[in-house]
Amino acid sequence: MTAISWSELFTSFFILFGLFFILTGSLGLLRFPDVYSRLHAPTKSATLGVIGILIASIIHLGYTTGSWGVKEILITVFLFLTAPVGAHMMGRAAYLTGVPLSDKVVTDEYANSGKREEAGTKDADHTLQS
Amino acid sequence: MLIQVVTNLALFAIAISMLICLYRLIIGPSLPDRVVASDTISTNIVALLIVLSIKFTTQAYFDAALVIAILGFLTSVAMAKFLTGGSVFDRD
Repeated sequence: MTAISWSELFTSFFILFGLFFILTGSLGLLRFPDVYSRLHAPTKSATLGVIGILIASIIHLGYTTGSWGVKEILITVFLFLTAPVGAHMMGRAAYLTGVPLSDKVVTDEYANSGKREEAGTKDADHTLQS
Repeated sequence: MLIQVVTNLALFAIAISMLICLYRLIIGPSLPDRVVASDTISTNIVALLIVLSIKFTTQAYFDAALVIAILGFLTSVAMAKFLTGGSVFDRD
């Protein structure tokens, strides 16, 4: 009884696929030098990892219970829509409140616009830098 | 069974990933770091619930996964609005 069906094989492959990207995102969150690069790492790769696990769930539950996976597709669409929006707003908030960039950053094209110091001094009582 | 081995491995690895995010949430030098770490923790909770639904072959966890995804997004957006303007809701 060594028969492993194709659905188990595909499910395991997509779970491991998603797992790789989730671990990569957390490792990037741990190791990157900057707020902005740390924001880039999990919002791309962890979202892709969740998408991979959702594909595995669609295959497995579609094979065993015969459902069509409407809620999985709903979660997928929702994550694809909201992860870039949240990451963009968080990066914009971090830049406007004056979180410093890394030493390895070559250019900062938004530096001369004057918005950064204004917003940074307006609510300086938030004590962003601990 | 192959599915049980892989889902147990996945639960373990997602727990490790959440511990890494918790470390960043504790030591994070600025407030946006902590918000990004908590957002990543909520994404990992979504993945954890879906792996549990694969492991037990049930659909009961998808509603909780969807609610936690919505809550993570709303937390991130509300913290971004609070950091830039100081007010979450726009008042005239």
